[in-house]
Amino acid sequence: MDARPASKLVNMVRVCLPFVFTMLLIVLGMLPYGLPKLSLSAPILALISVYYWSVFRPELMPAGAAFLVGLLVDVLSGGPPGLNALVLVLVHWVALNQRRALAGKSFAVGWLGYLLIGAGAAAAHWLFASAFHATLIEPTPLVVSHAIGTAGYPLVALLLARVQRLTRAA
Amino acid sequence: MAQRPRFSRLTRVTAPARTVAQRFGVLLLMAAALALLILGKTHGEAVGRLRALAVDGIAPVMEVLSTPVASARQVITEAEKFLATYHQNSELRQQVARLSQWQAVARRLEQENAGLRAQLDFSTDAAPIFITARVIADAGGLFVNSALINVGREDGVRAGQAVTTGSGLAGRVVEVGRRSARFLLLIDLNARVPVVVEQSRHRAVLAGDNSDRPKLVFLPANAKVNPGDRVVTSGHAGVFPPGLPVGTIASVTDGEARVQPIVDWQRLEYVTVLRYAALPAGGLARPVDGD
Repeated sequence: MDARPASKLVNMVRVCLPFVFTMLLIVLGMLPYGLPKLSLSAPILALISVYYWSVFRPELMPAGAAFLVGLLVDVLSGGPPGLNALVLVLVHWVALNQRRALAGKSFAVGWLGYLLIGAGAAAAHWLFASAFHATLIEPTPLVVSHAIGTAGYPLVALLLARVQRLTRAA
Repeated sequence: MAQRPRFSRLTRVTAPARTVAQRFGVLLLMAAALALLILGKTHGEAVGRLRALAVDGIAPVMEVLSTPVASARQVITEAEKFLATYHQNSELRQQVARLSQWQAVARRLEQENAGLRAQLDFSTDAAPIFITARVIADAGGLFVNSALINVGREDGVRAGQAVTTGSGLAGRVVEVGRRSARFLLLIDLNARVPVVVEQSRHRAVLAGDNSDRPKLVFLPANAKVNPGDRVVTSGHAGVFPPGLPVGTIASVTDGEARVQPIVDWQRLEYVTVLRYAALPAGGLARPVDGD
């Protein structure tokens, strides 16, 4: 173990990178691009990122980090407070438990895993949001968002794989 | 006996302990999130204030990051305008011809109206004060339609004020920070706007339901509304100034009327917050000497 302060600092940056990068993705995802609703929205970017790190480098995305990521989405989006935090901690937990089936396999397996866990997350999101508003919410926007998220997963995963290479030494 | 490395016994003890801690950690975090949700339901306003505080912290970052986005959008808009110039020119010429007739009518009506008001000793509503703001975050959650703007309490923004674009009503301010605020778009699940159908003067409430076309509720049963009718704010409840354009009736099916909002959500860049204080109910008719 190298105890030089400089390398310690580099190590710390590497450990924090997945979390910081996810937060950055959310902030960038919230900027007013004026795009149609059919685009990768910040909550979906957060979901993909938390799933990805929970499967491939879970020690760099602990449950607490997933919670904070969800909290940032909740603060910025203005929805029911704690809703995204709850869903993302759940996603982290499920992805962590299914790691053996998902990590180290082909890219398609990771994608399929996201399809399933993402669908579960959508269902949980709808359920909690409906309970919060005490009404059955029109699910179409959610279904469309998640379909776009699943289609866009390879793109985001590719980017995250780049970031993962930077964390390798951590 | 083979000597084992010293840390193996330690890890044998700590590894399960750590797993337990992790499990409990997940449970604790879920409980915390659930508690937040329940708090948000029971103490919505306090949680909203906390959130506004948090947004205030992030707003400067969003403001800086959104500046190049705004510039890029402007360039694209300008380019679009340039390409459409020829086509638009002839269209605008026709419109100018049509509108100049309307202008003459409006001038005459304005004078007539002023004269009649003077005869009736009619006191006008307080004129709204305008606060211009830039949208710094398009916070489209999966079920929420709100946006953040770069003005707040220090600029005179208060919860409940109307947010408009050049064309019409966009939404209502819901959370106010020091230098930032959130407004709820008309189409949000929680948005309710008292409106009136311009032609028939029927009152109703425009209720968002997360679809692109909010519906009219509390419309009188005998009300006759037709697609194409204009819908404007009624000014009831004193939250919004009356007469702000909201949209047009898009469809009427089974007595359910849906409204196409006049604001183009994809062009929400700059907005105007209206500081408007309606006169208290009954304030107009009160005798001067009081009671």
